[in-house]
Amino acid sequence: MNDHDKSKEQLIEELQRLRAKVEKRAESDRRENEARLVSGYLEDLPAVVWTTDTDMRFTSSFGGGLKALGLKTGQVVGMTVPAFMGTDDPENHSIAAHRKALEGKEVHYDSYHADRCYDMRLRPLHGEDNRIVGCIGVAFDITEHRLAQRLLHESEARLRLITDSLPVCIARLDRNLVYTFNNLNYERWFNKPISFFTGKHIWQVLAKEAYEKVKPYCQRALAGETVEYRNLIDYEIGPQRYTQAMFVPDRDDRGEVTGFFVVVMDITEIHEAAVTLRRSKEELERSVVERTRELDASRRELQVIVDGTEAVIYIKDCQGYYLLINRRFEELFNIKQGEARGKRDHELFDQSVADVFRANDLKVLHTGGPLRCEEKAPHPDGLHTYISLKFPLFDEHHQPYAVCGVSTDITDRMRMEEQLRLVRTAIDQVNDSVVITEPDIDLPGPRILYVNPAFERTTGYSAAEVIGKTPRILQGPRTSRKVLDRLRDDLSHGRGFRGETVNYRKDKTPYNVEWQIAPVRNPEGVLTHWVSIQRDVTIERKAQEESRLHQAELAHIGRLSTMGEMASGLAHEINQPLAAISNYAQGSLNRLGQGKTDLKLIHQAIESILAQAQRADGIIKRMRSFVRKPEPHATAVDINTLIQEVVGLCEFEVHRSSTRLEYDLPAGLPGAFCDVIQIEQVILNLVRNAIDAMMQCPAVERVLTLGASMTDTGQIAITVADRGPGASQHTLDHLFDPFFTTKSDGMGMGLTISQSIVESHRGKLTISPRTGGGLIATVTLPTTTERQAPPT
Amino acid sequence: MSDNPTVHIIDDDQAVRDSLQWLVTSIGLDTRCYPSAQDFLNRFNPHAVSCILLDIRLPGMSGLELHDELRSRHITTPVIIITGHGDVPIAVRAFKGGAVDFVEKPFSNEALVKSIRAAIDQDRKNRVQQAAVEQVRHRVEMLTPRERQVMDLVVLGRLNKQIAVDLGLSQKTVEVHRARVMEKMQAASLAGLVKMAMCLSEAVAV
Repeated sequence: MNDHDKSKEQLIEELQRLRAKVEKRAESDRRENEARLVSGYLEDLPAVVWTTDTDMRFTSSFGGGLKALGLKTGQVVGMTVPAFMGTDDPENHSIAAHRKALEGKEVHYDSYHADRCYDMRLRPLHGEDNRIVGCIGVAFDITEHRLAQRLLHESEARLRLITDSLPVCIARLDRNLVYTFNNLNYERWFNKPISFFTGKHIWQVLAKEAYEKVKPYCQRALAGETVEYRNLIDYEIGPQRYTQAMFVPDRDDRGEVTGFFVVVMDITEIHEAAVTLRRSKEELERSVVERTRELDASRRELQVIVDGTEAVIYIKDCQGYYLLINRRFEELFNIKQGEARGKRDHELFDQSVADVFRANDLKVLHTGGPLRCEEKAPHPDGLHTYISLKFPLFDEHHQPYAVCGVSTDITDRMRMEEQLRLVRTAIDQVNDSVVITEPDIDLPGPRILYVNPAFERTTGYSAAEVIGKTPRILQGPRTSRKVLDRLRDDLSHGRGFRGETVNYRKDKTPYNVEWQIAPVRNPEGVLTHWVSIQRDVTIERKAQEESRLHQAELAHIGRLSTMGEMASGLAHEINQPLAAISNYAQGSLNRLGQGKTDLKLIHQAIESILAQAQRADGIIKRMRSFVRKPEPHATAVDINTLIQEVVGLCEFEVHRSSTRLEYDLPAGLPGAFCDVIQIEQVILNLVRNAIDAMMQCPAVERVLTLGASMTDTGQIAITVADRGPGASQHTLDHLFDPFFTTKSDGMGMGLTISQSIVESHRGKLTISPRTGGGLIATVTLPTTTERQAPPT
Repeated sequence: MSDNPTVHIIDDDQAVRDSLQWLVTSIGLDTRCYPSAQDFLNRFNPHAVSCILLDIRLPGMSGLELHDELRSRHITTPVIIITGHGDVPIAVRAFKGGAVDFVEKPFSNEALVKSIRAAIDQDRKNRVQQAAVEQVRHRVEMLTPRERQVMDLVVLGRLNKQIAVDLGLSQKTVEVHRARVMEKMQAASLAGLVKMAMCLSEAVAV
């Protein structure tokens, strides 16, 4: 090898070395340049890049992200990772990641540092011998990205939540009619999971027929129009649905239509309801028409009835204004329907009348129920009485809006009823029995229709027992055949009858009946009933009988009275002949004085004088026969028995005068020692006086009290008390004077005689005012225990 | 009919009746006797001058009842009541009823005769007065209703002018009526007419 060659070779070698050097240099420059570029780029990146050695000591750190951490390039070089993290915890996420990278693994994780989020990537750094010499890490700040992601997610969830809870189907379709969103209602409508819909073409979801129906609307929505439609759509799932849908185009920010939103509402029920509603409305209208027709007819009928009735009918509103009156109202109160409308009672009637009407109306309105009341309304002949039935009229809310009244004039009826009641009361209260029978007197006799209470009292039969029977049930063995024959004869000739016979009570005791029967005829003169008035005259007959007996006894007592009293009594009789004698004598003297000496006449006068003198003598003689006054025939007499005897004797008077007897007779009184007949007469006389004294009083006040008691002096006292008008002091002072009387027909001897009888028994007769009105007569008599002392 | 006054004797005792007749005829008066009130009412003729002697105690209708009955029949014949033993209350009632006298049995004949004479005089006076009243009444009956009206107003003291206004007539007409009234009533003066009117009104009031 030559030099040249050698040098050439050397040169070449040199050149090559140079070139290599240049190339290397160029390479290095390029690399440096690249590195600078990279480094500059890195400085702009929102990322951090760092390297560590195997001891986890930072060897480099750069990148734009450092600024956000408040660090400069290479600031942390020499610091360990745990020191940087501020913790020795091997479990720390970053420390663990670095460790794994140093062990040769690639690590990728998210890390949060200083409120920011980083995407961390670590990988081992290999030396020339493929040994791990450290690790390199890159952290990208992804805070904004994550935030955006989360917000999107949240808003989507919110949308879903809202759309899911709406009772409508909400969806979005893109331009290809592919679903990009469906809310939960799709699950319910189509009975498929929600995941089924998204990404499906509309015809995959809807049935073909339904798809054909909605297709035109879809096209219009995609053309940018908001579409609304209602349609009956058969989704082939479940029954046909009537839907209301709205398609709203979805535009991007450039205004291009990218799809459309679908809102579908199931209005089947609403639709059906509407249909039903329409149908029922039509039906209602039809029935209203029918009803109106019926009402018109019935209103016409009603008007005829309302106007035709005798009752007064009217309707007033709540304020009392007349709404309607009938013809009767118009006639009675001389007012036309048109005039009455809008008027109130106070404008039509007197205050007092109107007040009552209004008060009753208000009662009806308040209670909301019917009211039956009596009202009076003025007629030309005075106030008439009405029975009014008032009731409220209700509107559709059940509120009363008016009062309707139907008033019937009951004045005539009331008058008649009043009269009937009066007659009935009178018949019921008369003391005579009244019997009304049917007219047919053939066997078994006329049937009784009515008997009054007096009949029940008299016969002992109750009305119920005798109604429907014949009065013949009263007849018995002592009923006079003759009287009955006459009765039959009179009745069969349609005549009245009057007679007396013996009838029998229910208990078969006989009683005397005096009765008359009169025919009752209707206006046509046809005999319809018999009315019989019967009087029980048993007591009267008995009294007549007894009074005959007692008259004799009284005469006997008269004879027993004292001379003095009899003289007084007879003075009246003697006055008659004395007056006559005086007249004859004076007349004769006058004539003789006038010289009219018709001796024949004078003779006659003197004879008359003689006759009258003899008459006077006869009277004196009669008086003498009374002088012999035997002692009373005294025996022991039980006071109760005595008083009962007396009551028996005056039963007729007591009955006739409607006097009520009361007794005040204690048990255990000793007997009286007296002549029973005389004392009976005295008591009887006192009782009759008492009855007479009360004749002017109302019947209910006629109470006569018979009593007996012991006196302080050991005598027995019989008292007769009346409740009559009493007597003046003057009358009381002269009661026992002979011929003193307060009765127009009295003799004035009764008390005088009575007193003398009582005194002859060593008793006393006193009369004094009764406490509470009237007089009380007291007869005191010796008792049987006193009889040892003989009367003087 | 005799003009002689008559005494009507009503007593149930025949002796008393006959003796009274004897006494009364002795003083020159006529008598009529009746044993009972009813008999008296049946036969009594009130036209002659008379008086009534009435015993209070009579069978049937009593003396007082008869007296009341006479009053109610406007019979003004005077009544003398005869009673027995001092029936003071009855006497009082009788006087209240208008009896002219009251005689107690046995009576003094003198007193009775005096009483009868007084009663007859009373009846005579009554009759004269009554006749006058009758006459006036008769004249009044002749008046037309209008004249009667005019007369009533004249006697009240109304002037013709006032009467014309009261009755709605012209004064002239009233004057004519008034003249007719005076003529028919035979009144010489207004005073006379007033007297007649008073006499009439008193008679009505009795």
